[in-house]
Amino acid sequence: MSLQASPFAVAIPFSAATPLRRHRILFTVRAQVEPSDKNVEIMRKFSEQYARKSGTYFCVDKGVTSVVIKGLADHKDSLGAPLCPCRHYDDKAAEASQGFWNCPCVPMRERKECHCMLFLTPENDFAGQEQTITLEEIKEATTNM
Amino acid sequence: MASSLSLSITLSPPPSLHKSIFSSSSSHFNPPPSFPSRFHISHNPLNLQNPLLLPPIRSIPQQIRATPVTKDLWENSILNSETPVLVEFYASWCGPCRMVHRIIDEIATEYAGKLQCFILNTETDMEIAEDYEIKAVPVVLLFKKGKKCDTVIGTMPKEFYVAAIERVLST
Repeated sequence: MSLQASPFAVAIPFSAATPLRRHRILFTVRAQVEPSDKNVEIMRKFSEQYARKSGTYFCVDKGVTSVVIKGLADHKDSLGAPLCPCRHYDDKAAEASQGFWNCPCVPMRERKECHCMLFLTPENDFAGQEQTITLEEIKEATTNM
Repeated sequence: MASSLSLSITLSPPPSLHKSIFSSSSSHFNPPPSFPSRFHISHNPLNLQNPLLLPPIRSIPQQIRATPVTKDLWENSILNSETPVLVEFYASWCGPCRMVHRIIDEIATEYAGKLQCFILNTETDMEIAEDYEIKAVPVVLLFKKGKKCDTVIGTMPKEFYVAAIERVLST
């Protein structure tokens, strides 16, 4: 059995690696993949709506806003939920189904705390004056990444 | 309209001047090594260099940026470092991490020789992130003699990082 399996395994690329290793490689590759246009648009619209609803503003540096929106879209693509891209998780899938850090996260809903700097209260030093961001702005701010 | 246009042209500096100085001097600075062995090259004393060539050497620190570090390099680069070390933990789609990147790159230049600056991707180096119990990113850790001695969580103004570094360097 093992004699038959080993040449077979060699013929297959890294998907034949151990489960843990495969998991890691996928993460590395994922980080470089652009999120889908559909989910970027969904998260862009959500961000505008939630900023208005919560009375918060985007960062003066819209590059920060753009990267976070893309990060939320990336997690929506891979996990089905907009898990906060500004945290480290042992198990992203478990965290996404648990929901605490799905945007808008519990600290944001309860205390308007967004350490990802997507939604900033007006008195925050980094807060800008805007609650809107276009798809063009997002694309422009994230082109040379 | 026309006068303002000509003014802007005359005011703009000759673009190639700066570069040409650097490129010509750097070509002088790279003579073929005439030493018989590696040991001699490492002993190449500074005072043998033409003092006129020193400005390009001083310009090198301006290009210093925080270096990516991984699990494999962790022990050598961080724990065994002679100089104090700063590590910024980040995630790939974390917007504020990019703001902190820029600050750390500036700090890497300003503290060249006194502090080594690194960045670590928590998604590709999960083990290190878990060892140091990283939850929110960006987070900046400061190490001295292999020991973690300060942590700055979140996105802070540059002065905040500088103050933490000064505290570590002075102890």
